[in-house]
Amino acid sequence: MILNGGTSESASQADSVCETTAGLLERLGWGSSIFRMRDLDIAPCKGCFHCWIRTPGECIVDDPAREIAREFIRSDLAVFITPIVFGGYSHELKKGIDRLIPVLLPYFTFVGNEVHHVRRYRGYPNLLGIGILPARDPEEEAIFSQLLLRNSINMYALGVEACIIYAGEGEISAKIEGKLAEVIGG
Amino acid sequence: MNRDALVLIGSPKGIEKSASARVSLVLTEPLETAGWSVKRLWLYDADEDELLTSILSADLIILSSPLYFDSLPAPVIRRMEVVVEKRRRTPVEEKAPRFVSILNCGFVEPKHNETAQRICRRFASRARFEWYGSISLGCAGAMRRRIRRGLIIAGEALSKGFPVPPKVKRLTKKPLIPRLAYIVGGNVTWRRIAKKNGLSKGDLLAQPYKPRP
Repeated sequence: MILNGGTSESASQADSVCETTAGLLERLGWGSSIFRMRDLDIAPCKGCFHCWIRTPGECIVDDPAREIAREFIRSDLAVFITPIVFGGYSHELKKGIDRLIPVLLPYFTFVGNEVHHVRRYRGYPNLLGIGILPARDPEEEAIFSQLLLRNSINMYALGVEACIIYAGEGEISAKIEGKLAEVIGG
Repeated sequence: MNRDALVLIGSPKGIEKSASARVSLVLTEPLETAGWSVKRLWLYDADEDELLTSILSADLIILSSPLYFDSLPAPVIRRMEVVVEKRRRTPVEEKAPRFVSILNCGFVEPKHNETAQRICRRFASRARFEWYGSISLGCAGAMRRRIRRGLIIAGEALSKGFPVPPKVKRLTKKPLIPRLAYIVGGNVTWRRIAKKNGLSKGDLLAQPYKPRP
């Protein structure tokens, strides 16, 4: 699955990255379902935990976020495409990610040396985050990588990669292809 | 001297009932005692113009928010994007507002907030706010004496124009209860709530989505 988190300001570049990524996956023999987040009317997570203790595994709000969570569990790879915003994801991407909480159980357990939620499903997709920046920014790039790594722990991804694309960068295909190879191999 | 503090609540549960709001109230108590005026806005429904006007007139901005998947909730990020965009078009002030972030997570260890705190700090820099420190809390913002004390010390320092002192981190960084106790207690609580809703232990483990083969 590909979540295209391009905002109205970053739409054209995010769409181009999305198209390139989907094309590369197709060449590798992978199918992909694409969600263009800015076109989807997704309510913010209410933090009600009903997806844990009333309708376990499914959010009570019936909107496209349910389909995103369903597809997330079905997928071998989740690609998050986003302009890098203060080192993190855009609000457009995050509105879908916030609603992924039903794919976990409410219970706590140790993962490594930390407490995390218990997995609900046996398998979860690997993660590839593709972040778009206007120019090199070591601090924001480091935060973006750290965020993906932390997400991979909470989302039980076995493989995780961060790929940074700079505005106006000519050839992005090889860069994304390299990261795809690493994360699919992971 | 009359000073203005602006508290931005980033929880979907609102300005009164949320843990984020409760935590911020403890922090702002010393400010109010010292004569500061404190304004609170709920980021989920704050009018954009009011938000920006309030930011421009504030000496101190306090963001209090829960942690959602290692970052801020989407509506909070949306507001941050708007603030930075607007600030880009406003003239640089002689004295930038100071900015403090308080994040609380549902895990026992406050350190889960670290990535989101880095995001907050980056936001502060982009919005031309002066970074005045952060406070990370675990256990969904539950307060015991040690946490309360940390928040009060932070509030007192801020009221005198100082950043959050390092002592506050020492008081808040350790989990409130032993981690194993949190796991066991938390799991029992979830089962109890589910039972009240007519769900069995097995129901709680439902897998409504077909996993990949």
